Amino acid sequence: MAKMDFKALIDNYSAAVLNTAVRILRDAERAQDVHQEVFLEIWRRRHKYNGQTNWGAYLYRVTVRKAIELAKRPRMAALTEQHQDYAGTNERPDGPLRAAELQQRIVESLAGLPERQADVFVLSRIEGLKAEKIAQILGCSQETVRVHLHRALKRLGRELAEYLGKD
Amino acid sequence: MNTHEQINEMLVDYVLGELSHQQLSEVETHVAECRQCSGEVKRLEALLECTEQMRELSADEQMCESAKKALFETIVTEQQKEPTPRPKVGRAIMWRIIMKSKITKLAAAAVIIIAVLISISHFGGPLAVTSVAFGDVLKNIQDAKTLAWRMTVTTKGQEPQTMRIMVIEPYYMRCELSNGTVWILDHSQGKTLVLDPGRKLAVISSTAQATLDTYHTFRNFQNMEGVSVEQIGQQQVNGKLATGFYLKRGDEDGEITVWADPESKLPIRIETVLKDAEGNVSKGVTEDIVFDCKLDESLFSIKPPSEYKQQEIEGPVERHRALSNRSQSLTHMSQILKASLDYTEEHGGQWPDTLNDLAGYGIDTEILINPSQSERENGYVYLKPHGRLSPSQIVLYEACDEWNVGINVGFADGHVEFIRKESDFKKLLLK
Repeated sequence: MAKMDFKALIDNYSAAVLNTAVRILRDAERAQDVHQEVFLEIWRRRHKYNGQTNWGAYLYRVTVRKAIELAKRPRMAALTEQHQDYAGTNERPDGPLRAAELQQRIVESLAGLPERQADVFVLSRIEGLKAEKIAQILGCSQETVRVHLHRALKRLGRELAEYLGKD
Repeated sequence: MNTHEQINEMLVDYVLGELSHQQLSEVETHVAECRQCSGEVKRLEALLECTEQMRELSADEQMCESAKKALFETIVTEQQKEPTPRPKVGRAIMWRIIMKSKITKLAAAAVIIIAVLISISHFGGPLAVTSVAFGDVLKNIQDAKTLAWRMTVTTKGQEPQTMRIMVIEPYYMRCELSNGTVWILDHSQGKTLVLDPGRKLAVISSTAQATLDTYHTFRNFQNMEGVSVEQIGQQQVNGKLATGFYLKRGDEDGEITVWADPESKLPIRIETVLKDAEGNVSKGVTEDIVFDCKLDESLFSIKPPSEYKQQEIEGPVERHRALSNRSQSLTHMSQILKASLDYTEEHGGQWPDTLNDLAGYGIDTEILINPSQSERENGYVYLKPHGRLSPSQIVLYEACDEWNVGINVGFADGHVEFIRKESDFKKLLLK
């Protein structure tokens, strides 16, 4: 990495990558998997970066993508157990259990959204970033961000109606 | 006054708090009376509340340290796995190389023979145990840095081939054939040069990493399992009394006889009997073996003489690199096409005007560079589709100034193909 100090990159962005991954996946082990994949990919291609990369934006994009990809795979054991408990009682879970289930469903639904919608939703609602910053990360206009967010919210609202409560 | 549908479209802005005062009042009035809209508002609010809870999660310091440690450990492991310029070669393979080499590889085979002798001595093992005298022969040559020898190969029905071979460890080898052709290998640069004095032609090419082993095996090749050695007495060799050792490996074809000077304890003649796949027997005789001789480094230069016409041909390294670049370019193109299809989905079927419009779809400038032509800022030609679209319509292809072996071509349905013939490409383009 002639024009980039890989160790400095890790030191500067490790926590940010892990935070984003753990918010999406809510699982420390899987968040570490994302961290590993994201930085390992950069390391493997380290000779190809030209020193112009906006690492903050780039890492947001790839971390969100990888975390959503990982979320498609079989979910974490702990939550599965919760689901099994819930299935056994034949009742809807309440409180923290319900919140955890809902969060899991949101992430699963995100995997089914068009990539840009999912990215905007995560960066806006889960990362809490402003439209201007999201537009900068994704390289699009703020209006595009707004449109994607609206579509994502509308669709998730419909798809998750069962978990969000009926009218 | 807005209709129910119009109000419904404003609900997301409502829960995000992005409505004007007047819109807010209008939506609130409608929601109070509309069960469907009030239900949707509740669901959207629950969704936002849930994601806010997700936002509160963060990684602690211990998790960060653990993730970094795991990452660096993986990197160290990967670094160890990365191909080194001198990989080890298995013992059985070595024997096969020695015994099955075709004439063009005999020079390398001769080096390996000597490598075997040296390493057997260096690391001990069955041969050294079998014959202390043989070990003495080898001890004298194990630290040689330069080698020179002459090898003559006789195959039934063919003229004997004689070659003079010189080696400077660990990178350079020069082989002079009896017809005047000179073959120089520079493994430090991964290049070979063949000089044909008859045609005054210099051919430069790359050399595969596999052949780099030749010299490395001098030091790392340990005893050869299953090889038997037998002292076969003494006889006159080239006017000198020499002690003979006969080497053979199980029932495999081929054998080696080493004749050594009892005084200097250096090998003075190595005889090999080789059998090729068709059963043809070749006999090789290695003589005039000189260890640590003075060799002029200019003999190993891969710079062709000025009076020679130069020709560069693609070697295995270039072929591998070209295939790798082609494959990577194909991945780039697939990503571009996938992003384009995402774009069309979100723009009512309209394709992007230029590839730069895909910046918001994960296509950064790096992906727009074709690894085969990294000097071009945009390595791909994009043909924006208009009107009725056929899946076999070309929308993307690799930019090239001159048709070579073929180019990757991307189609409207998102797939990418490597097209070899320019005429095929032009036909598809006309479609």
